[in-house]
Amino acid sequence: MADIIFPILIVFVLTYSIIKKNDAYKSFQNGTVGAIDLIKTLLPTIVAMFIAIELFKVSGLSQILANILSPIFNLIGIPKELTELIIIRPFSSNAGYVVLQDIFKNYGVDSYVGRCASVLMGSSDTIFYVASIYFSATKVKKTMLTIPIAVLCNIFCAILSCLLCRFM
Amino acid sequence: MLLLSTPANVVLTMIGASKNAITMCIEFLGIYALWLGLLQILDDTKLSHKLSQLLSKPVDKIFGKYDDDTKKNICLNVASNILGLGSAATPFGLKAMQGMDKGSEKATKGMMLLVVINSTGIQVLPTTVIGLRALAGSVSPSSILFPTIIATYLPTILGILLIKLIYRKLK
Repeated sequence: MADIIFPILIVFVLTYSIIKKNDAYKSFQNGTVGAIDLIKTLLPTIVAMFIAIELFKVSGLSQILANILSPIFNLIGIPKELTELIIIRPFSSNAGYVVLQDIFKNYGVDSYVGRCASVLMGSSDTIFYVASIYFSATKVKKTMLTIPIAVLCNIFCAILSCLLCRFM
Repeated sequence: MLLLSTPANVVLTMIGASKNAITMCIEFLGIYALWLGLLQILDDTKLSHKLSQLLSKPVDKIFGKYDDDTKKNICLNVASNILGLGSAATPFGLKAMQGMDKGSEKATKGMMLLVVINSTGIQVLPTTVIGLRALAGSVSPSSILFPTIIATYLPTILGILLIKLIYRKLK
């Protein structure tokens, strides 16, 4: 059912643009070209991220961390396969997408784990990157409980994702 | 640790990782090319501005008193995030933070709210994830849409409530 939403949305966007007498084709072209610039800025980060994550995984460090955290996550209903994703996600979206694709490859994109991971990635955002950029625009030195609250919300998001995927 | 065990693996791992990175970039290029094109149409029709106007009342209630410019920036930040225009949201968010800056060392309630709202994600449509699912051969890529929407907004609401509760005596 949800599969219909995107085609409807696309039709809506195009119709709205016609109503507003906007040149949809030209807008589309302008927008699409931006993808190249975006990837250009992202590429160095993605490459660095991939390398760091692979080293992290192959060296066994991530396994150790996951081993420590999974029992705790299991208690609150999060499958242990998602531990790596949950650890990495608040630090970087792209790293998260990397781990997501790994999960798709290893456990199947339509499996319970694959769906939980998808919901988790699609419903959260980075914490540390956002917080540091936004606060750096101000003179604030004491962010107080901002980051702990954000972390708590992200954990809640993880629990919720796994819960919802059980029957949605 | 890897360096200590099998040094030969280090370079191999790094090159393999780099190759995977480039593959992923190309896949992303495809996903972004489609969505940025569509989003640009949306943007040029000023839909994000319309949405931000709709948001001004709720933003007022949540954030409290701030000057008009800052309120507008907050609304545009939230509206851009909702529509998935993350790169557009950031400059508005930064300007809003500056507008809320009173020179104090401590974060104000409004700043905390904005940061937490941005950190918990408020994007309605998880386009990148759905794109990646389709590329991975999912039977129904968008089937995660409804759970994702719920999982997007409930933690955000939790964050807002927590900040308002814990800092109800603060400005």
